Amino acid sequence: MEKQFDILNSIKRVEPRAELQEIIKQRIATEIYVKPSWITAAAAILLLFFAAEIYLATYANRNAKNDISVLVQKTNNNLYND
Amino acid sequence: MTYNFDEFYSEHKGLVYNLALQYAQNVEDAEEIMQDVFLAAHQNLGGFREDSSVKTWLYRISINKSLDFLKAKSAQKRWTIFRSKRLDDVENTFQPANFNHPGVELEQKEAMEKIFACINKLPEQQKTALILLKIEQLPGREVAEIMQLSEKAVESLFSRAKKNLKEMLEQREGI
Repeated sequence: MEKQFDILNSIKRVEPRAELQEIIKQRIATEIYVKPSWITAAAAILLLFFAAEIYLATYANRNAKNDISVLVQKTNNNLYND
Repeated sequence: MTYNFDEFYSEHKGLVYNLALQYAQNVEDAEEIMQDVFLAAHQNLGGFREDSSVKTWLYRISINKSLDFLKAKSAQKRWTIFRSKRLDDVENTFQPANFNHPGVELEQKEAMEKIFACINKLPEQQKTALILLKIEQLPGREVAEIMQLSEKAVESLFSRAKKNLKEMLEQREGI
């Protein structure tokens, strides 16, 4: 086993091909990088926006109910003497 | 932190490429990992706190990118096999389709392929400790800094890796 294990010592160090440098430079130039902090900020803003929308919708709905109750007359079962 | 990409690349390309080769064992995959590493380094150099050396920092990125690459390849393989409904044949670990390590001499290729097939089955931490200590031949202190562990922890990982490797090789040879 030691002999098999020591064979790992014989691995030589090699150089990458020259073209890789340009390939990497091109990739760096074209890659769109969005910082994680920007994504967090955008998500927080969206969440706030939706929360506000839900709140306003609920608020508007409550107000609408009140308005409707003014329009719809309550039934009055009192008998009036003419 | 300002830097010149060409100088940075020239200084560190050997480190990154050879480490990627130890994980991927073929040129094509190692080149892909190398691209990911330098891209990540470029994007994160601004956040480099200089609490470790650039070399240590780059080693960490290279190890993480290599392990991510292997996981992605394994997942891809499992998905392909799942689609062909032969789940029994799924191996959880990545084995390169072609062993093509340019640092290995031809006469040693077969023996090296056998041992790397076993190394690929080791848990990530053990594999990393083995690669850094035995193949990259880094001192224990440096490996501990890269892996953010104590030197004792690194030694323990290395001995467990050796023990597991021995068992796997013996199993392969039917001992």
